[in-house]
Amino acid sequence: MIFNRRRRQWLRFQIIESMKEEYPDLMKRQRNLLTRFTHFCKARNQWWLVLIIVFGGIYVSSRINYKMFNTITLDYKTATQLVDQRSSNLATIISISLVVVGFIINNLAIKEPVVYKLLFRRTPLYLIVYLTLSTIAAFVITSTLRDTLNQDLFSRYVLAATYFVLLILIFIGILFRTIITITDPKKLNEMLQEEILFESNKRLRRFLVWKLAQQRIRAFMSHHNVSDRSFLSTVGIPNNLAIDNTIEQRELSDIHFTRLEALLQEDLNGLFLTNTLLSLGNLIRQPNELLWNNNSINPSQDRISVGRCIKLKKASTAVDEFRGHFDSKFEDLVNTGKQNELGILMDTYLDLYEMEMITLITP
Amino acid sequence: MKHQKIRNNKFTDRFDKAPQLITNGIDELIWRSMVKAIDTRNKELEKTLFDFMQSTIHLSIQHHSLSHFNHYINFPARIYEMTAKKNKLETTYYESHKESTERSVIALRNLISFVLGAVIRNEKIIEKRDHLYYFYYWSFTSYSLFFYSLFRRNDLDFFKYTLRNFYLISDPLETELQELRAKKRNALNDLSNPDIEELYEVSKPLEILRRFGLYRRRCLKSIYSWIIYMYQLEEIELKVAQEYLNQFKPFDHIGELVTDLFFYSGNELSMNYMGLSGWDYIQRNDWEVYSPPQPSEWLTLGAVAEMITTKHYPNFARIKTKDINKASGIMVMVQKVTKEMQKKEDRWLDFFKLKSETFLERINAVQASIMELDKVKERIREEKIAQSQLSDKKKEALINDIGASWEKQSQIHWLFDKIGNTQIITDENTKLKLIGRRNYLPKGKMMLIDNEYYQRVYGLSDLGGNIGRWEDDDFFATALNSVKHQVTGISIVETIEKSLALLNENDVNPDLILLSPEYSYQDDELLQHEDFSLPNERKNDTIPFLEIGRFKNILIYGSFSNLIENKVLICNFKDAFLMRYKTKEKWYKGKLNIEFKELSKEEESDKFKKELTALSTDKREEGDLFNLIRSSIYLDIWTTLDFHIRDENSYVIGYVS
Repeated sequence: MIFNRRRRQWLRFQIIESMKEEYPDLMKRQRNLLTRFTHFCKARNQWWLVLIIVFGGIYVSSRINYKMFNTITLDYKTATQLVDQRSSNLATIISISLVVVGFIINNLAIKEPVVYKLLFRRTPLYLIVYLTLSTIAAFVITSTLRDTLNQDLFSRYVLAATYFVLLILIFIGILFRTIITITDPKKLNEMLQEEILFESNKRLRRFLVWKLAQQRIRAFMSHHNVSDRSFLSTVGIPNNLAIDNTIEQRELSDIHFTRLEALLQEDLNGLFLTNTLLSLGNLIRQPNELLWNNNSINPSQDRISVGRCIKLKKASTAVDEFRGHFDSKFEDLVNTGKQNELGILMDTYLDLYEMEMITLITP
Repeated sequence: MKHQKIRNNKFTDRFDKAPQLITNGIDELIWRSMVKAIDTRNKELEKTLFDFMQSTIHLSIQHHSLSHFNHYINFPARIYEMTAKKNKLETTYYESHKESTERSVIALRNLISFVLGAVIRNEKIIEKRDHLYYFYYWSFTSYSLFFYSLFRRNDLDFFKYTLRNFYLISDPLETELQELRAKKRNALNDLSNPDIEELYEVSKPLEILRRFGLYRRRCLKSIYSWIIYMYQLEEIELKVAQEYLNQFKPFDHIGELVTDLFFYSGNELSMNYMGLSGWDYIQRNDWEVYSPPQPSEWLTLGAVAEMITTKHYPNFARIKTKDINKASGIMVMVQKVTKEMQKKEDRWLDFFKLKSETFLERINAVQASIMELDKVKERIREEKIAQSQLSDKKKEALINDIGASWEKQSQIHWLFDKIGNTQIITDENTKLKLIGRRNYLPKGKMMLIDNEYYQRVYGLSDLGGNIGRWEDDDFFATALNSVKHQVTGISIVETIEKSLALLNENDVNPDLILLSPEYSYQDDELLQHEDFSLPNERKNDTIPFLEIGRFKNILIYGSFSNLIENKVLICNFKDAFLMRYKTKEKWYKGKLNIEFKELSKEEESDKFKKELTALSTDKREEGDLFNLIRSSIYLDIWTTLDFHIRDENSYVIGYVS
């Protein structure tokens, strides 16, 4: 509750909340929780999560004494045989699978970076690799510790690891199924359309956040008599308004109006905002350059410290990978005179136009 | 090294643009593809892209998105330019060029007539309708640009085709417009008691619905006027001009001529209305400084040409007050246009197929109708002035001006105040002279109101100066009438010496000599006399007198009063004279009454009757006369004082023969 109360004081939270009311269709989650979680797990960088799940799962299995989980039992002798066999089985399966996957990828109808990206995004390829390697590692460690661990524990660890092997097989099945789907141009185009609409949704949200944030910031500044100075009107700007280019640019991620208000209520005359287009998403180097005290030459000790009132994060660059793919495909079709195939692309563009029109015009 | 500050003034990281939308660049892609389709003569591709543009346009209308609408609405002109360029290089391309152009024309026509009409008809919310009419504006702008492109390429065939299709466009909400007009007429049936509620209800919808006709007309008039302008600049010959102009049907909006003229001199046009500011007839170099054709000028030329052709001249009788400020602009522009036409009379005689006398007659009629605007403007102005309230602030300022002028000129009054031989009369029954008068100032209100009709009147402060001079004259007249001791002399020096001798005999100690200022520069005998000394450097500039000097240590002042010409007055001022005066707090410095008064109803009525008879030969209407009187004021300005001779032996008047 406290967390929520604190969040409410930040501008981004307020804007998102108001957007949920004004643009319910746009703000509706395009992917459910499960889908988002699986996408998260399937990403390239989540090896650490898989490792935790595998080792954590194997460890926890020895601690859970639940009737359902005790149905399958392994005796010590069987477990010692299985531990060696399963690691080599797993290594064989994964090598064959990767060879097959490689072959299929080489024969995709559309061999473009964006399709490969889509392939890795939609298939659990990374997950399978990390899962396999983690499970093999678990088997190797368990095998090494066969004489150290007690027999019961050893058996439970081998059983748990075997379950993971089954999981890997299921994922390999999903992988093949997905890859075969991607080889169908029609299905592939559907997936690409889905992705571009998702990308468009993100773009629109970002735009709306920027626009609404700008309005609120201007209203806030105006209400607190902070004047606006555009770059062109700042003739005779003091020499010490300099930018240190060695400082990395960061993105303005959020603003805390209550703290900022407290800051402005200090005895300061003639404040002005150096960036008339200030909004969330802007890149800034030195936050203390944002607000200037009109009357002073603003030496460093007088600079208005806005550090606590804002949040900065690493600059993100939004790249329209799927839109770029559509455009280049469009140009290729135009250049080769294949206008009959333009229909799908044009329909997609019309969908994008419509999404934008509905969102930007409605309120 | 990381923290080493690099001093520079680059602010590039401060001014981010808005995040881009996903559709950014799609229109450029489509247009590039269209160029490719035309270059490769791929008709199917062209048609596919064209259909996409139409779909986007229809979608934007459906969702009321003007920004997306504008991505593609200029398709006729753009596609035409692309195909015409291709056709110029390859004449075998003509059929494709024709097909594309005709397709564009019909698409635009249908868009205006049907697509937009259907959406607008179904939209009942007034604000949304207002917004939707901007789609008409941009659609007609597209047409306007198209006509310009066709004419620029001298493509008469397609021009005719396009114009024919243009004439097929009708207002889809014509019926509704007529109904609203009827409602308005009904509401105004009884002018003395109009139905205000009804008028209010129909005004906004009517204003919106009228815009279709307005845009349509302006689109036609712009190309019509441009063609005539090209003829004036001798860019095209008469035959070509006639070929194009003969395609136009007669304009059926004579009643709108006034509206058009006001529009041509307004601000809207200067803001690149319908892209007209971009119309030019020669390719300009980037480095060249030039003055582009002004739409207000060539549109006015078109209007004047129409007046000369049709012999219909604008009637400004019912112009709105809010437009009156543009009147000067219209007059200046029409004068300029008619003068230019007269310079190239031969060319215009051929154009209009008129004889010289008839042409001049019509030019004069145009000028006369525009001059009428001046009268209307004046009429409205006077009416507004008459209705305005007087401003206390302006009154006070003017009173101070007049008072200051009086102070500068009232020499004798100042002298009395300085010496102190004055007497305040408080008794109401004691009558003193009123030195001054009541002034009737026609249209005087304009200098006392605080609105856009305020106009400063110069020279009014002189009335204050006059009071000063009249006071001086009255003093000298009193002195002359009651004089006991007079002397004559052949020169001023002799006269002064004789006067001093006489005063000496009467045991009077003179302290002042008053004479005409010309003696300060003309009379060498005085100036070089041993008893004469020039004044010390004047330290106080507030002395209204001209200090000529001293004679035998007696102060000599020059007075500008005519009554002291060729005379000299020598006296002991305090003993000789007394000024009696009345005072009131509200008067300027308690002495000068300055009062501005509006005419009462009876005074207005009397004046009106008198003036009407006096101006019986003037064609001015009664209403104008009444406004003139109502905008007039009285200015009462006088001092209440008189001058007494205290001791007739204490002064002498010398006459210089």
